[in-house]
Amino acid sequence: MSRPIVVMREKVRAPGMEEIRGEVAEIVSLLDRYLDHYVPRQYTFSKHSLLGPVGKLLGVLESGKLYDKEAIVGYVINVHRNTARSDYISPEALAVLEEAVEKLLALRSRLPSRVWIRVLREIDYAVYKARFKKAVERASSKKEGGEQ
Amino acid sequence: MVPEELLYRALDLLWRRGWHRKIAKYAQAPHTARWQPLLYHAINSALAAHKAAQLLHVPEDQLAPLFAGMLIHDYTKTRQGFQELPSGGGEAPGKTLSPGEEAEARRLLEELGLSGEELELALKVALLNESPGKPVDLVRQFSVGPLPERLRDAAVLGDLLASLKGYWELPGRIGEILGRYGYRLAYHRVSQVRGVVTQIVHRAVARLMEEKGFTPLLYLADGIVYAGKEGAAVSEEELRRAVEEGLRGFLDSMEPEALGQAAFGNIVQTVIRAPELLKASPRAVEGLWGYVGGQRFIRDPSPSDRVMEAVEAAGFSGPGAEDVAAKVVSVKNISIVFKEVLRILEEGREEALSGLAEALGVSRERLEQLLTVGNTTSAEKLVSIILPFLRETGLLHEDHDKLVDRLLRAVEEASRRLRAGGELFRDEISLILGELYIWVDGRSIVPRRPEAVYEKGKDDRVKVCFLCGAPASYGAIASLTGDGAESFHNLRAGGEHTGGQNRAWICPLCRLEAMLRNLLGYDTNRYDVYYVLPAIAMAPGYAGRYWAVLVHALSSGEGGFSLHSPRFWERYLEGINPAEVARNPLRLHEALGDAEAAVSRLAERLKARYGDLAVLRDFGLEASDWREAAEKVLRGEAPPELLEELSAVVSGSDYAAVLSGNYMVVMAIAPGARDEAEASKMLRRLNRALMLYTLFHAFVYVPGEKMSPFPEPRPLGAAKVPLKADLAAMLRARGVVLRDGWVGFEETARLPADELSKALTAAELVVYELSRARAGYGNSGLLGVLSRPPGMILARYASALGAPLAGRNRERSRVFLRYLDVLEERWWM
Repeated sequence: MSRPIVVMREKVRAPGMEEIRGEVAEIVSLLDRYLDHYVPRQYTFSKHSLLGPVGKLLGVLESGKLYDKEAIVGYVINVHRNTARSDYISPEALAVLEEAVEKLLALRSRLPSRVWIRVLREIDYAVYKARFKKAVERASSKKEGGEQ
Repeated sequence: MVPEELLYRALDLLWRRGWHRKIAKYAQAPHTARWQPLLYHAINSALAAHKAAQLLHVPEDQLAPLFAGMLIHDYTKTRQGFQELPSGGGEAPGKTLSPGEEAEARRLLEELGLSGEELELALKVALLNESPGKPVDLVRQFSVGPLPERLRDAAVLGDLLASLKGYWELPGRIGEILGRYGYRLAYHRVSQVRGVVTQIVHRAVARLMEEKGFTPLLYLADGIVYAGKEGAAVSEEELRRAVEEGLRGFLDSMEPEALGQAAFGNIVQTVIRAPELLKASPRAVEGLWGYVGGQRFIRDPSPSDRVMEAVEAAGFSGPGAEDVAAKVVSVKNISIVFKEVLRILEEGREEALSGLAEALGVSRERLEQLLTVGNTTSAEKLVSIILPFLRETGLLHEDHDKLVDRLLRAVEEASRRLRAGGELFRDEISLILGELYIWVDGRSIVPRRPEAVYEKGKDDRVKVCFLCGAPASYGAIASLTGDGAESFHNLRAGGEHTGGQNRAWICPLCRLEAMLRNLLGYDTNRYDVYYVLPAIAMAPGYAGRYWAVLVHALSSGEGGFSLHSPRFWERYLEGINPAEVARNPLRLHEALGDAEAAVSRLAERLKARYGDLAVLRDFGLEASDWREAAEKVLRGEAPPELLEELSAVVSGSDYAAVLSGNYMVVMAIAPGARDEAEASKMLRRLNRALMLYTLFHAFVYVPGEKMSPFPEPRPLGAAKVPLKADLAAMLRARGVVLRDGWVGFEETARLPADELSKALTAAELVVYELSRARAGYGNSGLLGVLSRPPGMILARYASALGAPLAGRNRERSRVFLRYLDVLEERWWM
């Protein structure tokens, strides 16, 4: 007996990586700026440590546990306060974080989940690279300053 | 100002203006034309016009304006409109410059060193070198007035030669203009480009044509175009002799040891696998004995049990018996090789044997008896023949090494008295002539008519060469033609047993090609072949000279200037201006920090080769010591004849190169780790080809079948290497333009050839650093890096370093980030 051929089609055409690359870069830049305001209790250079609350943010977006913008921002604030050297979060940091979460949610609403997971992975590693680069630059300038 | 000075200055100025990324010529129908960057079209037109001006006796003071004018004759093609034409948009420009373009063109001419009347004349040449394309051009051309006739004709010829689509265009306008000045056009062309053999043929025919009064005008991979006033006919006999001399000359330029090694096969199978080499050069015989003398089967053999038993039966025992048995085997093996030499070099046999008997102090009968032994001679018989021989010569009680040395000296001396009978490379040269076409002034001179075979009808019992399809007469040997000599292919019946004579067959010419490559240390299974076709095709003198210096630099660099060296990749990533390198390749060594070592190495090589500085003075190179001579060679200041002799064939530890005005064959060891995925190796190979494109001002073609000949490739981009379909799709997705496999150089591509090369180089450096940190992606190699986000690779690297910002690791991390940035900017954006 022959089986019918099942064709699976996505209802909406997903934007290609080329089309969303600009948005992704913008989100990475916002998250990087937000992390400029985050000073961990203890400096280590693992990915987990460098990403701080952003790692948790991306994790919660990937798992889909939280959907509401306010809830997600609140979750990140909590992580921030529990892991940072000081529990104070500046208004600028908060504004940048809110903008980043807004843009992330807007992007999620346009992408099918398989593409969304891939994009999150890209953002995750791009923010890590940006933070690592800053750490290297900071360490190098400190070293140069020390030698003078 | 000499054109050489102008050439290098123009290369530099136009490169800086990005003309290497602009299109000058493109082909919608690929078989009729090639793609040319504006940089090379401008330079080629200028050089060809200069050459034509010399033939047409254009006054000396007009040469520099002609050269400079031809450089900017297609200035309007720099417009965006023209650059978009190949992709279907844009607009064809005329000849008339806009005020802004004219100001920029004038600035360029001033930077070239022109001013006043010369500059105005150059602008006029640029405008009047071709017919007007638009009415506005016609009006402009009328307004500036005519050029002197000879100057105009030279300018027209320059553009026509640089734009030549094929040999069929020669009799038209080019022939008509040259004809007015009493010149006849000629060209020679080969139907198959085979690599080394074809280079020898090109050189031989060019020399012969020059003897007949023809001047080479234009060099292409498959032939040369000439012009001459006299031009006597070329006979088949002259061609045959010229090619034979070319082959002999090539073999004479080889080291005797290399010749001997290439001639020798296997002591228990085909003892001499390339008898022609012994026939062609007495140095090969000398090298053969040098080579076999160092082999274990002669120097330190392991006698079989049967030989041991036979020796013991003859009355020897203990360690003495082992020593005698080893001597017996050594003498047997020397005798087998000498017997083969005697068979191949037939003339002078009597004299050689008498001399050998005398030198060894044995009777002629004893010697003849020794020469009856072979690999299948029984141990008893072997001992019964060789023991009396050893006793008679007094070698029995001699030390083993001394015995071997004395015997080798004697057979080498005897071999020198032998000579080859008959014609050398007869079959090969007949096939070469069958593939050669010479055309003089509208008349073809074809020495042989291979089509006669077709007229007579083909014979389906004739074996054909599995590489080129010509009648085959040799069984393929894996060591010459690569793996696959004993596997199934379309020229064999399916299901039959493979082995023995039932194997792939090759023609004498493919065998000769394989033999010559083998001489250069080429191993088909481990090496890749790159055909490097000059983009500056109109001036082999310049291109050849620049290449010669560069190839020298390439061959002398052990850790520095090698396409496989991470140090070189780093320098390449920082940016190399090939125009500057062309001017003074020693600068590259200086940048790599190995100039001192490169000069010393070359000084040693020069001393070993020429022995006396007076020889270099004969070439026109004045130097007070070998160091100074080496520096001059590396700077490109040596006379072209010396450079040509030094660089016609070069070989280093990782590659060899054979060079002629037409093209260069580079045989380089395959890149990447042995177990790296083939797809990654393909990308590395593509990067090597793109590096050669950038450094050598040349288009690079890497054939899929390394030994197969090919018709002249028409470059449709910077480089072409075999790519799997999914790799090609991946490159296209990143913005690389692939035309029939050729990587596009144009700026309208998101990732042009030179930028792709930088991305791949960065990826190679990332792979290298990852493996140093023991964090590599295993077999996937380069592909593993190119298919992952840079941050992911960084996380892996940082984790492998442990403390990425501590001590030396901080600098390593900084450098690694730089490589990732280059990769990200080009590959991931």
